[in-house]
Amino acid sequence: MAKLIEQPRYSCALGVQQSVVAIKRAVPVLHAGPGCSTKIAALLGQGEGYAGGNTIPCTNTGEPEVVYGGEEKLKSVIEGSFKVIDADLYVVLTGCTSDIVGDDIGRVAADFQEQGRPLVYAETGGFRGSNYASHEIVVKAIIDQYVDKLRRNKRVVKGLANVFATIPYQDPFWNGNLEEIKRILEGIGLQVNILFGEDSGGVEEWQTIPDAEFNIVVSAWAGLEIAEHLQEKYQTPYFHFPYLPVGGRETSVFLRQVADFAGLQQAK
Amino acid sequence: MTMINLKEPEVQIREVRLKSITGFAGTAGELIQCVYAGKLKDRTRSFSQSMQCSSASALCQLSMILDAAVVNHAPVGCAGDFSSFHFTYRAGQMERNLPYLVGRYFSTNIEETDTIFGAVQKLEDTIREAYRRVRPKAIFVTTSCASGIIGDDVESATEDLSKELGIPVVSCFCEGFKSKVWTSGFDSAYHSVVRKIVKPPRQKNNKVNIVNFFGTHVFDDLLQKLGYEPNYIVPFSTIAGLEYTSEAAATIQICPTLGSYIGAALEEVYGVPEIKSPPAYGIAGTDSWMRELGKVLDREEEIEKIIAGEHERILPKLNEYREKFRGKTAYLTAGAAHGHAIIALLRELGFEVKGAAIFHHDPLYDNGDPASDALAHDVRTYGDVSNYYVCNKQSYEIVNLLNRHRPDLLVARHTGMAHWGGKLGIPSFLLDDEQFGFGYQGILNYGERIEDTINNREYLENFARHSTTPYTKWWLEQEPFTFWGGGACGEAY
Repeated sequence: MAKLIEQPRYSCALGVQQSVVAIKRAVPVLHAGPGCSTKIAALLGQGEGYAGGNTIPCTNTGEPEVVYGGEEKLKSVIEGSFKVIDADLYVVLTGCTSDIVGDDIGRVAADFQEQGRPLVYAETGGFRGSNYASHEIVVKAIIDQYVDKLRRNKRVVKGLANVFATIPYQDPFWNGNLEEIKRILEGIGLQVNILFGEDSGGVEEWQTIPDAEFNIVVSAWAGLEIAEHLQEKYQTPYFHFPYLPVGGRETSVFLRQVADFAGLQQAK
Repeated sequence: MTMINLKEPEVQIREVRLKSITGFAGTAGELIQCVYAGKLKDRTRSFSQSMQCSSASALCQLSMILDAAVVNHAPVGCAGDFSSFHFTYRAGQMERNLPYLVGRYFSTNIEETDTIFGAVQKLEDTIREAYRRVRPKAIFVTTSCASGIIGDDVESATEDLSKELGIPVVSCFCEGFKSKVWTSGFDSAYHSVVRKIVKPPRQKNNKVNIVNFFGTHVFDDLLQKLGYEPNYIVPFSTIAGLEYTSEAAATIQICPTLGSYIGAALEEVYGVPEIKSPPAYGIAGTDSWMRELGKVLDREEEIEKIIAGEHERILPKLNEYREKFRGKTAYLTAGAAHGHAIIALLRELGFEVKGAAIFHHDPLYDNGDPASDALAHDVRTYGDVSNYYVCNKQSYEIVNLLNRHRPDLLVARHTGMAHWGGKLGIPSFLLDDEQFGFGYQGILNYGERIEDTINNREYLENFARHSTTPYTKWWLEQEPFTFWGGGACGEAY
């Protein structure tokens, strides 16, 4: 049986460029073919955001990079990105061309990371999977390669929670979902790192991820790997709610379970 | 020298076939001089932003055929454009009063193991399943970077499936990495149509092929007056309708960058004459285009009458617009030949064209005839265009240029470009229907649209005040071509 897809509702691994666009003042830097970014934005985009759409730097891999390798080209596009794009975080993402050819992105990125530049990389060649899976890969990459290095106070902040819920842009209502989840969780007395969208706090918010008392995953499975990774890395426990709470009753169920988990009083 | 070779499954990319370039800065006149002196060279960029690729351009044409299916042999991300073309397909059906049809596009969904073991089996299964589900009259297979690099033998697979299913199963090679000029994808689509769908003519008919995207049907009246019938291709045509494009009396281009290959192929292989004048934008352009059409269709007298009548009809209103727009400046950004058309329209309406950022440049089209050079026509008719710039859709360069030139109006042909004008407080509009500006009425259409746009300044001024830019202050102070390498003819400015 063929595994064909008619009318796809999701994107390839590189679709995660939209998760990066959803982080305030972050920019994806693509090492991919010339059309990848535009096609992804056509399916998942909602305008350019801060530096999405046509603004996204890209090596626009051509035949020379496929034949001779594209590491040099990537290096020069990263250098240009730092000069031209005013961002707090640069996330290098690869496409099929680079991943099949086998460019050593880690080595190129390391040169910039050693200079202390806010740069992260992840291999996200389209054939590797969906944007749901790569969302987890890229969030973990940002934590490991960027957040971890900037961890300031190595202590847990009581009542601080990281939330991993709707994948940005995959659900057209992602921004509203995240805003509301943040609002209601703050309503029961938590401090919330929502990390993506209008109500997020950019890289400074990301830098406090390790300080959270616990993590909340609101999704069937996407995001669980991030929470497990954080548990392993910083011993942060997590609470998993397997669907998006919609409606008054489900929202109450969600909040009561979170409150239980957090040990808050059930006064509300 | 012929560029059309229907024996080869793959058509050469534009950089090779037409010597197309994606970087130039100078005046339009200088660019043309470079072309005819044989001195045109491409430029490279050490920093670049995402563009578009050939596979989207190929799908843009093939996805709109009413009774064909398209199989995209690629990972699922390459199918990201299915939904937007599907939208166009559905909207276009309504505009044309066509019966409700759902787009038939399938992704073979190439995955990691396929990049190691090959994905031909997957392709064959998908083609069979597509045939079983929708019973199309033909199936086109568009390729991708992934299928190209792993070396799947798509041509053999489609040949075999054609025999098995008894319908044309046609390969269309449009790997994104192969060309910097994504209009190469149009050529790929047309190559597959002419190679495997079009049949030798039985007899000549009174149809005129119109190579277009999905624009308004502006040619109906004109052609009917002349006793001919329009046949709009490739979008919203049927496989049967495409088969006998070889019998048509002529081929009309709305944009030679789009239809270069199919126009030349139909003429060269089946003797269908292609109208070679630049498309009819602006008065002078429309006059000469009409006269050539009259000559080819043997209706010279009728055409002269129409020309005289139309001049009389539009001139009073046109003069009003010219008066209104006198002294105003404009900047435009568009694909190659349609950008040249917009230059003509703006000049005709009395604007000073301060500059143009055009995505690429084809020195000559597939017909090899310098008469089709729309930019040369602009320069001859309206004078040189300063700050003519071939930009490959690099928005960082365009923002830098707009910030310098600060025109009174920005005209854009592609989504994702017009908002930069808005962010800088420049009245801007996006127009993606080529036919909107076509012919005599098109000049007035543009005039009306422009008047609307520049009269609404306040909203944009507020908008600009609250906009942020992702570009660094450093960048906006640099020369726009700081990241260019490689020598082109013409002075860098």
